[in-house]
Formats: sequence, structure tokens, C-alpha cells
Amino acid sequence: MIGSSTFLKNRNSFSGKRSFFKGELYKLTPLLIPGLMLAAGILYTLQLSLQPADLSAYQAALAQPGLVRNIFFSLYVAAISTVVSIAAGTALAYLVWRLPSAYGRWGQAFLVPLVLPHIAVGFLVLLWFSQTGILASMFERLSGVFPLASSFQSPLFKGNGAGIILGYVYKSTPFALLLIMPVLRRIPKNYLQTGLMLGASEFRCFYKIILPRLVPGISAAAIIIFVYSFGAYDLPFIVGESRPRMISLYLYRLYFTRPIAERPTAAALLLLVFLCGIAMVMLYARAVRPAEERERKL
Amino acid sequence: MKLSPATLFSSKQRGNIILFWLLLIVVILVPLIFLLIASFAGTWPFPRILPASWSLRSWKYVASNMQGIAHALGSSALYSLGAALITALFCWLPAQFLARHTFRGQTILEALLLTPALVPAITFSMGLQVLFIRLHLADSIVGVVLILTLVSYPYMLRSIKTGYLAYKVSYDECARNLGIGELQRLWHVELPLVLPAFLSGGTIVFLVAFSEYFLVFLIGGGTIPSFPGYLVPFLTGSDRAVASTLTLLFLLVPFALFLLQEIFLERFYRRKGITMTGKS
Amino acid sequence: MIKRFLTVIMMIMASHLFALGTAETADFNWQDASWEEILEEADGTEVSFHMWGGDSAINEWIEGYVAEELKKRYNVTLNMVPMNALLFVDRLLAEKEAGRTGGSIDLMWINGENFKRTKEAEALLGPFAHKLPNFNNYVDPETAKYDSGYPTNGYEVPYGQAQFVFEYDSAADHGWLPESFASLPQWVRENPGMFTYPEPSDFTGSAFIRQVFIAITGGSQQYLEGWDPELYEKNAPLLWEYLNDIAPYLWQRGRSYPRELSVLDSMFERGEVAINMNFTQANAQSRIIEGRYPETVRTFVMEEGTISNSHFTAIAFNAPNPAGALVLSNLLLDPAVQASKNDPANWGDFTVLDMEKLSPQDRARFDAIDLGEATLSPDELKAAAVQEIPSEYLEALQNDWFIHVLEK
Repeated sequence: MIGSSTFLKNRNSFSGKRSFFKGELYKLTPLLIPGLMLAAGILYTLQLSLQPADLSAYQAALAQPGLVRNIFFSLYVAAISTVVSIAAGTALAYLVWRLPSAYGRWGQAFLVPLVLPHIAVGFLVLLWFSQTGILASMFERLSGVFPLASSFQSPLFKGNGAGIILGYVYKSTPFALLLIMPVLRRIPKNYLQTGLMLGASEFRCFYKIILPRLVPGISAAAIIIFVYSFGAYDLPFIVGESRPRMISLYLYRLYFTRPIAERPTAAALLLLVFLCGIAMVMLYARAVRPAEERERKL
Repeated sequence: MKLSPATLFSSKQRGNIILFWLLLIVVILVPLIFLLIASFAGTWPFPRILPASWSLRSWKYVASNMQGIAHALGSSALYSLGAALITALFCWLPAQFLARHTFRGQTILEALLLTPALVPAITFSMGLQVLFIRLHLADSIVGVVLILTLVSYPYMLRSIKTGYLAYKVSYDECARNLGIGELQRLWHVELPLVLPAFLSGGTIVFLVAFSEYFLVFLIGGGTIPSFPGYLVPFLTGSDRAVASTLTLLFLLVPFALFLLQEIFLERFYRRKGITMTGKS
Repeated sequence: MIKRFLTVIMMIMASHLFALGTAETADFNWQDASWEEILEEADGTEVSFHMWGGDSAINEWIEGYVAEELKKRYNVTLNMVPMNALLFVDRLLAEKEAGRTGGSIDLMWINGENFKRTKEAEALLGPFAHKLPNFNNYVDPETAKYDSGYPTNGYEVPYGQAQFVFEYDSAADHGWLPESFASLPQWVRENPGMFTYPEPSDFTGSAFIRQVFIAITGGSQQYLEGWDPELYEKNAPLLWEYLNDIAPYLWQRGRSYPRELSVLDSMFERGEVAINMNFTQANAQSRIIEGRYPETVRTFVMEEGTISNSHFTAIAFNAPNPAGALVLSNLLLDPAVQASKNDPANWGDFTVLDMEKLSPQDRARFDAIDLGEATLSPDELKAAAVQEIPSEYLEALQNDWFIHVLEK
């Protein structure tokens, strides 16, 4: 990963001072610390997956029952969580930006869920949404007053990932807000003003003027939320269903509770999931490059 | 000509203000209030919106176990601060480089640099556990800090890079033309301008490290106390009152840190005679 | 002020670094030492106890009563490390693989498959049982010979005797009570959503399916000979059929199972399910005393019987403080400590001591314990006790459940 910097061609913006670029390459060396750690960790997993020295562990890994279903379920949960968090985060950022700047300070209160660890967010989801939670109690009360109000059906543990999605949205929306807000702040407010004065609706102004400029912030937030929700363990452990199950729960069980002799199979699967993560990140990098280059030119 | 935004869109602002407060109350305030209520709950049978009886039990539990809790909180704060410090150190120059140069494959490289924070930690941490044991880093705070830097540095890198994107190389040239030494330039010009980026990166790294549970257990082996480790049995158990109290306590540390940071920044800039701009 | 804050942090950091330096191998020859020498060696040290931390009553008893006794009697400081056994066993195996001396674990609470795992990897210290005065004086060695069918050879000593029980609220009306595994499906069908069991990766969940397995395939006797793959292949499908039949009527229609016992506990306490299960005979009484269960909760066992087994403590091969681990392991077998553990006000876990070997005063301690109305009498429990089967069955069952029931 780090060695790759040698083949990078110089397209230095500082009027082609190639030597300046090369002379500063040493500055990347501190990244060897995490780079070597990651490489060591992955190499261990790799060598574990190659015992015996063939691909049998990989064959066994791919033959695990329920694997495909669980991967698709994880992708689905990650996708929904990302789309909803990004939409909510963008809307929230826009709302705060639209208001007088004094509200910006109060707006920081929206970052509270970001501070909570995922396990605590899971606890909150249980507290509110479980079959005997606070919402259920409120509905129960309401049904006494309005006989038509049907009894509350908890959305959790139904096999559709609702609990995990709720948790991720609560935790990731402020994260999206955090990444989008600075981008938004760089847009002069009179852009919007001009648009409005020309008689465009506010929605059209937002869609045509603001949103395109938010793409770098949004895309960065999206990839982080997506890949993280795809593979994280804490939240699914507390509010995730058993079937289908998030790939992380599946991996942990495979690694820790199966006999040691089956570790190579678990290692093979771990490596495949790691490669999946890399692939997602690369796809993202390819997709956003044009947008980033446009941003640089601005 | 500068129009205040308040008058700008006055027609729709009213609705927006109401929406803003409504959201803040429903999404943030009400959950916090219910956590507070839950922490004072005695018994809370199902169809009741408020507890049937009130009790100080959970707070008494916290008071009587203060030593263990404070130890766990302190240890977590310590290794998280350590992670923030070390990531700041080793992300500084790379971030500067990435901000000042554009080259082919940069997007890919930067995306790849994100991976340790995003892929499931178990894919690489099991090997690191064995490695750290061999290197006598397991069960030490050094080992815990190291593994935490691995999963949190991407946030620091991103943040500092953003800081340096706003920092023009011409500032350096200007300083050099004035005949200022390198150290002085660093202290008087560069540091004040990029410090906020370091601090916001440090905040995220701190939060990531402070919330981490599995990796601290894996490398710390239970000898390095951690607050999430203390919290988890309660969060998955049935004692909602203690779980709520401990969650509230959990919020306290980042909150205190946030305040400390604000005070520190203000002092720092006042001493340097720079007014805080670009902060809202 | 900030400066002072920083100095304090530096000092704490420095002390941690020094603590790192002291984690050295103990070259104390405990094998040849007398008990007095062991006590002397342990004096003033700290000993870590790695154990499952999912029950607050157990944690409080260990951190409170046991820690105080250990300090008072032997001047040894207890450091309880509540941790999932899978994690610390994995850590121990990794330390073995890395050849680490001076490890992180002293004493561990383990049983069954984890004992087998660590013993086969030669990651345990021992044999040490014969060194413990309380083991020699009060424990019937016959009862400590096997752990889930695997010979202990003195590498672990028992400290508690558990039996699986079910719990229900006698004030809640669910028609009738399932009194056998044969009638349980009928009850589950009549009360949809009111029953479930933890995922078998949980200790109690694993015990539940093992229980059903024994009950519906004709008792435990046939399995005691040792691991028989053919017998397993023949009988396991019956279990999968049984569990799959009831799955649609379980909580969440079997799409979700509680991930841990503590989750099921919580659901039972809040009335989401009607039946709970536990591996401590007096658990219900203990929770009534704690105020977590209503007074009307009672315990029952199935006609086909329920599994009874012991739990054990073992010492890590590279324990930094073997003397301390021996002293703690011995203290856990002390009659007064065992009696305290047996009391539902503390934990409610039954003793492993042989009553015949105790002095009259010590026996009186056990007679004085009020097990409470929620606990079955020792005779009823004894009549229902079924012997634990070899751990290979346990492993196979809990792994195959995920294939044949969950991911079916």
C-alpha cells in the first residue's frame, strides 16, 4: 500500500516542480506504522487460511450454509442505513445552514449520538422500540383513549434488519452532518439568494445549486457509513436478528466457537470479507474521482 | 453590502426554526430525558410510560462502585488520549503531503488508507493479537494504544488534510521572506492555522477509541480496564436503571473534553492575539 | 491548571509502563512447595480471575465477598476480569502459540469444551488439585474425575454444582405448565410467541438443546461411553425435527433467538416470554431477593430430567501468579465460602463439597441456608438430575444447530 507511492506519476499543481514533489515523498513514511500493522494482521489471516496449503479452506468457506443470504442481508442493511443517514444528514445540514448562524451552536447538540458508542445506541433502540419498550407503552396508553389505535408491533427482530438500521441511522446521521456541514459552509449564501430572486422554488435551488456542490462531502460520508455498517459487530450483536444475520455476527461465531481445526475456513472467509471491503472502497474511489477533480478546479 | 440571512428568507424562516427545535427536542432531548428518568426508575412494569416507583438505587450503585468506574473511565480516557496524540504525530506529515500535492492514483491511495477504519477489525486483529503477544505489547497500554491508532488514524488523516487544504504554501514563503526561523514559523504561523483541524481530528479519534470494546479486550486482555468493557454487561443485561446511569456517565467524558478543548483554543488564540474566525 | 492535569496524566502513564515491566515469569516452584510456602509466596500479591461476567449477582459475590475474604485471610488482592470465556480461552491459546511466559491470566472459570480445548493445547498448569488442602479434605475425588466426560486429571477443580432449571411466574395464566419435553411443543403451540431459548453459542442455550437431545433420544446413558459419531448422526436429526417443529411458534417466530441468556432474562422479567431457564438451582429465589422477579416466580424441571454438572477453575500454563491462583482456587472450596455461595441471597449455586467429610459446624452452615419457596427441594432436584454427556456432543450440537435449525 505504501510502496505504491513510487509508481505515482507526478502531476504536481505547483507549476511542475517535480523535485519538490519527490523531495517531499519522505513525508509519507509515517504511514508505514499503520501500513505494516495492517499488513502483518492480514498476512496472519492469509497464512491461517492456507492450512493445508491449498484452497480447500476457501472452498469450505464458500460452502458455508446461509453465507450468500447473509452477505446480501448485510449489503441491504448497509445500503438502507447509508441512504437514510445521508438524506437526513444533508437535510439537517441544510436546515442548520439556512438558519441564522446563532443556531449553528445549538445545532452541535445534534452530534450527541455520535458520541455514544454503538452498544449504547443499541441499548437506546431496545429501550424505545422493543415489544415492551417506551413506544409500546405509549401506544398502549393511546389505545385506551383512541380505541382505533392498534396495538404496537415492535419492528425489532423481525428478520428485516429494522433494529440495526434504526441504530445506524441514529448514529450515522450526525456523522453525515459533521462531514457535510463544512462543505456547505463554503458555499456563499447569496448563490441561494440569487436563485430565489430569479423565481426558482427553494427545492429547485437546493437541487440545482447546493446539492452538486455537496457531492464530495456526501460521497465521503456515504462510503464510510456504508462500509462500516456492512461489517461492524457491536450494533447487530444487540439489536440484530438471528436469521438472516449480519455478516459480522456470522464471522465472529465461525471464528470463535467452531473447533480450532476449522479456523482456516473462518480465516478464508475473513479474508474474503476484507477483500470485499477493499473492493467497495476502490469502487468508491473510481466513482468520485471526476467529482473530486472538478472540486479541485473550482 | 451584507444582508443578514435572517431577513433574507424571512418568509420561510419561521417554519424552519420550529422544525429545528422540534427535531432537537424529539431526537436528542427526549431520549436524554428518558435516560435520566430510567436512571431514577425503581420498578417500571410494561405498559407504564413513567416508572411505577422511583429509586436512587442505580446512582447508589455508581457511588459504591466509584473506584472501579473511575478506574475504567480514567484508563479509557488515557489510552484514547494516547491514540489521539500518536495519530496526530504520524498523520501530520502525510496529511500535509496529501494536501499539497496532486498525483495520479491519489484518490485510490487515500481511499485505501481509509480501510483499517472500515473493514471488520476481526479480519486483521487476530493476527495482531499473536504478534503483540510475541512483541510483549499485549496487556500493556502501549499495545492498546497502537491497535487503536490503527483503526482510528484515517479520521485524523482526513481532518488534518482538510486543514492543510486551506493553508497556502505562500504563507510559508511570506514567513521566510520575513527572515523567520523554521521553528518560529511553525509555532507562529503554521500551528495556529492548522490547530483546529488537529483538534477536530483528535476529537473523532478519541471518540472512536473511547467507544471501542472488542479490540481493547483482545489486546488488553482484561488487564487494561475499559469503560465500554464495564458497560457492555449492563447494556445487554436487564438492569435498565444502571445501564442508563452508566450511559449518561459515558456522555460526560466527551462532553468535558469538548469544553476543555473550547477553553484551550480560546486561551491559545487570545495569547497569540488572533481572533477566532471561521468558527461558528 | 492544564499543566497540572498533564503532569497527572504523565504520572499515570508512567505507572502503567512500570506495571508492564513487572509482568514477569514466576519461577516459583509450586510443585514442590508446601502449602505454607505457597501461602507465603502469595502474600501481598494480586491474582486475576477470568470469568463469565453476564450475571450481576455472581459478579457482586466474587468482587465483594470473595475479594474481601481473600484479602483478609491471605492478604491477596483479587482482580476479577469479567470476559466472555471464548475470548479469554482464545487469548490463552494465542499466548501458548506465541510461547509467552508470564501471561495475563491466573485463575479461570471454565468447563467442558473449553477445558478440553485448553488441556489438549497444553495451555493449563497442573496437575494441581492435590495441592489444595480444601480439595483433599472436603471433596469426593470421584465427583471431580470428569468434566463433560473428559478426564480432569487434577488440572481443574470443581467449585460449584449446577443443575438446569426452568422458571415461570405462577401468577401468570398460561393454561398449564409443560412438565415434560414431550409436552413442551404442545404448550408452545398453544402459547405462540411466549417461549424461546438462547442461541446455542450461549452456555445456557447450548444446555437447553442438549437437554432436549437427551430427553427425546432415550436418555443420557447411551452417550456416556464417549463420542460416537454414528450414534450422533442417527439421533441428531430427531432434535432438529423437534426444534424446527416448534420454531414457528417461538418468540419472533424463530427468526430471532436471544443472543445471550441475559437477554432472555430481560424478556422474562418484562413479560415478553412466559418461561425462563437457568443453570443455577436457586436462581429464581436469588432474583426475588434482588427484586428483579415478582415473589410468585417458581422453578420447575422436566419429567425426563435436566442436566446436572459441575463448574471448575483451572490455572493458565503461564500464570504470572500461580501461588495466588492456588490460594484463590483453594479459598473457593472453603466450607464457609461454599455455604455463602449456596445462599440465594448471594448466588444460589450449589456446593461441590462432600457433606460426609464436613465438620458438624460446617454442615450446620449448609443446613441453615434458606433456599426459599422458589427453589425446588434438593431431593426433587436430585431425582431429576441427568448426567452431563461428553463435550464432543456438546460441540457438535451447538455448531449443527446453526446449520440445521437456524440456516435451514
